[in-house]
Amino acid sequence: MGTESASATRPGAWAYAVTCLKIGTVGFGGGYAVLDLIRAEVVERHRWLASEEFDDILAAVQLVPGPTTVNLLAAVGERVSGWASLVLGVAAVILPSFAIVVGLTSLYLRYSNAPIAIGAMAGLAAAVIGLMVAVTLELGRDVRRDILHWAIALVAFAVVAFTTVNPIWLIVAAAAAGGIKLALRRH
Amino acid sequence: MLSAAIELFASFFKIGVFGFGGGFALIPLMQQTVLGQHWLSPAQFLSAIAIGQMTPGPVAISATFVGFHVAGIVGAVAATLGIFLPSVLLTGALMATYTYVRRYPAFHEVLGAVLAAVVGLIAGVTWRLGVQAITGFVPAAIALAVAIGGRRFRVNYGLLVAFGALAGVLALRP
Repeated sequence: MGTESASATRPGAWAYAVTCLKIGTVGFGGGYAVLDLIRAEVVERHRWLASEEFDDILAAVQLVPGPTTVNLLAAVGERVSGWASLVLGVAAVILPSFAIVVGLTSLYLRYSNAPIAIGAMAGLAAAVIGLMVAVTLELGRDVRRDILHWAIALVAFAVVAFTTVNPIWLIVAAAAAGGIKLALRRH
Repeated sequence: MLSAAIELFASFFKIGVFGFGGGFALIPLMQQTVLGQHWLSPAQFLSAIAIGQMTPGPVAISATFVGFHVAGIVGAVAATLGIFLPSVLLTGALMATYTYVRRYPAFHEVLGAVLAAVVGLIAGVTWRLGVQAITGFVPAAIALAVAIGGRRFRVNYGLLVAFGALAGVLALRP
């Protein structure tokens, strides 16, 4: 794959991993900020991919489960220099965050009863709820405006908010509903 | 320790496989498993998400917190491998096939329905955790400020989380 790419140079797996390590170190905040950062590195700085090719891959990775940034870097790695870049790139982008979480969790387990930590965690928890509201609204824009899709969203909300049914079943059921709708339309 | 690590790996792998819709889509699935297995309390789970949000990486890294909490560094590695391995395998598979997959209309129909479910799931888990976290006027004000900052003004999520921590230290310290 990737022989048709417009780019002139190909990174080796290590060079690709170094770029991913950089993105994984300075990509604070997630979301759009990181997507812009990845584009700046891959398209503008290193010219490994043309802009349209990058957009194409970004659209394609929405089809895969998991965090968009990780999937995007995995896909770009595979495209520009194969499986070794995919694997090393993902490991490199996660590594800094892994180290930070292990460090913070050690601190959390030791100091979680200190008043400052209790206050900080309460503020963080409230901020996370606010972020999740923002993310819900953001993703909600892309939900198709028809009865089927809104009914699916409403059922999913009620099941998670008020029962302990495993949400995986809802994802499977929604996929089946989408498939059945398509089958009905064809016949 | 080893059996705990295997269980962490298997549980988070399953979550990773079904996490359609980006990093935040993993939160409802994680919540179900982590609270269901009594690995964390609801308050600790919120801390896990918050700490995940304080890193440069995706929020899925919260799995590392859970793993460390349950089984130390071995658990942290097992949970992290579990949550990210499906991404690696499925993205690899996608890159080998996506020119075909993308043109297949059934895939978009199915994915559209899954996205609707994911929005509902995230809203549901926000409600469930919000009941725990929003205990008064100050947390409600922090959540509202963050929601508006993130959605309306596109403020960096890392900055919003830092704001929440600072506001909490100033106004929610016991």
